[in-house]
Amino acid sequence: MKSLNRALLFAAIILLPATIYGQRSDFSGLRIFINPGHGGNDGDDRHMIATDFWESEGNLTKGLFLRHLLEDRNATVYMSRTTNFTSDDLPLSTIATMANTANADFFISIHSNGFDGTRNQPLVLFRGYDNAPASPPAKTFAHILWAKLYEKGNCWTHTSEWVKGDWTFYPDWGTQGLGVLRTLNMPGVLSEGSFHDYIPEGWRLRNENHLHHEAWAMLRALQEFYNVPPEPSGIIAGVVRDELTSPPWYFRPGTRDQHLPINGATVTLMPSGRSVTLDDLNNGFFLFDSVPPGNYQVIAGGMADFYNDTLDVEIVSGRSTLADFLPSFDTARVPVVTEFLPVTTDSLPFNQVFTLKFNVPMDRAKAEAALVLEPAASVIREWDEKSKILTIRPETGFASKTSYLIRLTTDAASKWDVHLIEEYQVSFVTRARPKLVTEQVWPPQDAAGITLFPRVTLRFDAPLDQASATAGIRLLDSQSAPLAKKLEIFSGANGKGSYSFELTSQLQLNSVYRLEIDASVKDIAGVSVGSGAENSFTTRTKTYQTGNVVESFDNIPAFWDPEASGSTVGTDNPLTTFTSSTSVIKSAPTAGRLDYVFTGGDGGVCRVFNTAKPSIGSSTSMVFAMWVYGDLSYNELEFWFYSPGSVNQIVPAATINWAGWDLISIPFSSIGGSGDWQYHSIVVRQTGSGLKSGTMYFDDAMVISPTGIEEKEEDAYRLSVYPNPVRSEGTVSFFLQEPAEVNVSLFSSDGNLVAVLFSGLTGEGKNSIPCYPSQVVAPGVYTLRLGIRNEGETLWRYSSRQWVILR
Amino acid sequence: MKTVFFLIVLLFSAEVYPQDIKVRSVKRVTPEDNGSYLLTGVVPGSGYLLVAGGGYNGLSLLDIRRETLKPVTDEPGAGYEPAVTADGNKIIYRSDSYSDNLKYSSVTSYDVTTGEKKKLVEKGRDVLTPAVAGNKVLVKSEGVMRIEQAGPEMKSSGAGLFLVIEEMMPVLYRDGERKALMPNGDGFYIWASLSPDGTMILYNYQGRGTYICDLSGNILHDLGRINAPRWFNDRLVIGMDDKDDGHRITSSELVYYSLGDRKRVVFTSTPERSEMFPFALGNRRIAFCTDNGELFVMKVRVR
Repeated sequence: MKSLNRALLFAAIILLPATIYGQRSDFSGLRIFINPGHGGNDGDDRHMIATDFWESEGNLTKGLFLRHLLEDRNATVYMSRTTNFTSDDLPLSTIATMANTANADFFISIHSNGFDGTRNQPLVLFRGYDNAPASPPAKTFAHILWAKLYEKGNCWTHTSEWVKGDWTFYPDWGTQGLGVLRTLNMPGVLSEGSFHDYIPEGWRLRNENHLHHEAWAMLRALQEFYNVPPEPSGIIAGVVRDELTSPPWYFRPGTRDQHLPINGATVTLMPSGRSVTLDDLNNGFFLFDSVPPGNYQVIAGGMADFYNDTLDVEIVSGRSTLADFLPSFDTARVPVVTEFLPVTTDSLPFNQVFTLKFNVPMDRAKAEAALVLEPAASVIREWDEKSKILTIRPETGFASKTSYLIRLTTDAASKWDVHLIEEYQVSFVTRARPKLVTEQVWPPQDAAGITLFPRVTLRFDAPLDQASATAGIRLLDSQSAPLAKKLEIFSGANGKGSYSFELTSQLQLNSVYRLEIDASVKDIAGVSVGSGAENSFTTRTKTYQTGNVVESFDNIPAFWDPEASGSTVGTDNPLTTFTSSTSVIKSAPTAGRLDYVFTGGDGGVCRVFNTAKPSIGSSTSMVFAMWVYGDLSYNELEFWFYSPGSVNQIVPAATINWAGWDLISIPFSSIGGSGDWQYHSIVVRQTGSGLKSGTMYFDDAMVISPTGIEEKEEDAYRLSVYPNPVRSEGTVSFFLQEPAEVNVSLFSSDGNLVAVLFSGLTGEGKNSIPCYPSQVVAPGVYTLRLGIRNEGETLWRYSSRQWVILR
Repeated sequence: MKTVFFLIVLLFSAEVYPQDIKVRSVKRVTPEDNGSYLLTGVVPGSGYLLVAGGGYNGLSLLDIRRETLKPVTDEPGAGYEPAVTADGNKIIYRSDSYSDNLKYSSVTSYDVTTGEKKKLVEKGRDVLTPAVAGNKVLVKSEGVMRIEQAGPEMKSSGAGLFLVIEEMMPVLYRDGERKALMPNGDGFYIWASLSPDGTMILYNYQGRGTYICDLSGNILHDLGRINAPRWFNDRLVIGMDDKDDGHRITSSELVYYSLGDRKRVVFTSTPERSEMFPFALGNRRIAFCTDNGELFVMKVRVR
């Protein structure tokens, strides 16, 4: 009996691993195929403008690290690409064939997702219907992988499991499904680890450790799927954020992403002493991997405005412990003025604006009470969101040729009642101001081709006295009769003033108008323009075209708020909106109204996405046009389209150098790609010289038939421009019956001459003039005008074409 | 005698002159079950296509005239690269099964006439797809290679030459000798096949391009972008020019390469249909499937 027991015990010991654990020790003998999706920063790659994230790069970083993890654990790993060039963007059929040829046991295609910029959650797709997978093991793995992806993060906007069959997920594709899964002869999944167009996640995806964390999650899923023991170590990961500050980009309210990540902090793991310095890519992410289980302290430090912070954490083998920091502000710091602008304090303009920057958030009331101007001046005080920057602007302007002293007494205190140690003083002198200066008039002097629906706009160096402006500024027709005004607007910003108005009826085609400014027009301080002035301009010569309306802007809920687009960057979140307008419209009942505020000095992008994405057809001879109410901001207007496959095609439409309604058009030939296009977005792109805020309106986007093209063929001259659109070198061709003086010029959409491409005598017959328009003007749609004056004649004859200039 | 000489010269000239393919007609073949299929081969000298389900699961013979299906097997993976003997009587296929989520494969021979099956390789971990030369079959499992006679002995020149892909590179076997080739260097070689006359190897290197090399691995032709390339004859290669957006196939056209004038030509233009995975069906027809699983037979004129 004893020997029988011994034999049973022996057998139990031998069989124990197989019967109880049934585990492999590692991935020996397993063949895994990794496909980092897309490739090459072009073609079908996804690029997020807001975060400069390329999906191809993120996918590759995850894939390479997963390979490293698997090979360390004795797996045989194949990859469809290990670099990120255009040639790495292999056809899906080729990728699947590579996996088949490798006779892999499992296939993982690594991607990140995009939708509307408001969503962030993992999605794992397998082939087949939700409840009828083509390969049941693939569905099993998809569930495991989703759970591992989900548990390694805490910034998800949705919490429910999202594991789908591709036939269910893409019902429009029938059973074609995902191309890379269709011809696999092994189980495989496509993993969309997170959403790259959710901007907080987009920033995290720029962090290599965050990408590695996703690879760890995939490794854990493979370990569970293949019954390989989990890692004996764990991971600690988290984000360091500023609890007092909200990010300037979209975030899901109530999530951890509502706090701004802190760049550049140092995070240390104790007692190991491992340390990481956070990047400056607005993610605040840190990670320590391969940490033995146990209790640790994680310390965040090296932050200018915050105390060091310590978290106690427990590391569990085979898992990630998430620990986010919200370090406390250093409340004992003595406030000091760290910067005063402007640097020059001599001979300043009467409306000079000053800013004082503090090292800590200030008690606004105490700081304002401690601010003294000598001699006294009425000023407006404004604060930034963090109460660290105080802006002082004169209400009506400082006195002419006067010496002032700004004092900030020691009554000024921080938010935590720590006072300035010594008074801060700075003096400045204003320069003489003999008259009110007219800084801009639109339409400008001698402009041609002006819209029939202008908002006449004048900008001055000081806020206007409204009565004097209303009475002293008028638009006269060719018979010198004043036109009735409507919708007069006075506004002031940064110590300056503007006055604008519309006319009660539309202007006449090809007519000259004069804008008169009386000498009596004055500012709110009583300083007048001194002498009268007048500007004349000419309206457009051709009637507006009409076409098939593809978007009437009557269903504004179909448009996303700009911050949700995923491409919008550098805008003030609550102040940038797209709403319905019933007061300013081109056609009833509504137009779209865009209010935008850029927060930086340049490079902001404000995109309004239209979920209807109306199809506009595929004919390259058509014209796409939209009524746009310009705000004279000198920012750039773009129309965005999808070509087949949802490939984005961006077309510069115009520099916004007009005010009022105008029909802005671009030829279909300027849209990249081919096949049926869909119009999907309006974009205002901030320029360095553009206004930081404005309001525009949009109505009736149309497709116009070529038979209705405005620029009629002037057969006598056979004017043509090639190519159109043009990027570098282009050619202007025309035909002359006899030698003549020729002028070839470019005009902006508001009729301003922007470049003379050729001027001189040319011979009879066909003439071709090479030119390089993109070197002399910004991208946009221009009117090229050919002027011909025959010998002995004084009259110029003109012919024109629209020319789209790209860069 | 002069006439005979002239005809011989003409025939010889036709052999070396460039060839091109023109489409004469296209006919859809609808299997009786209206199912969605991948085209995975043809049976020489017969009216049968070899078709498989998604993921190359299962394998069936589709009679293109009657549009009837004759199931060979429903085993997973059986439709991937099946081999057919030169006499068209035997289909040899590798099929897969999973144990503990590990892939195991076996190789089976199927007699087209009798429907009889014979297991050539038992279930194992590293089993190559079978290769055929004439009526001989090469199978290899877990490092052990074996050649079986699967039909009457043939005396043609290529009868003893087998091409397989091992460790991602083309490998030739002849008379028990193994010769690994890496014409483009180390890397991933896919879609490799011997020319009908057994003197050239067609392959795709790492998805970057398709090439033809001789039996010593010297590159003879750079075909450019031709995916799923197959020999149409010794002078023409057919394949597909498929495009996608990174997620789904957006278009695919058929393309040929003429060895005579080193010319690549896209010879279909069907934006409404993505034509994929073509196979020569005799010397005047091409069979192909679409991304939606439809099957077609195209009559072509070859000059």
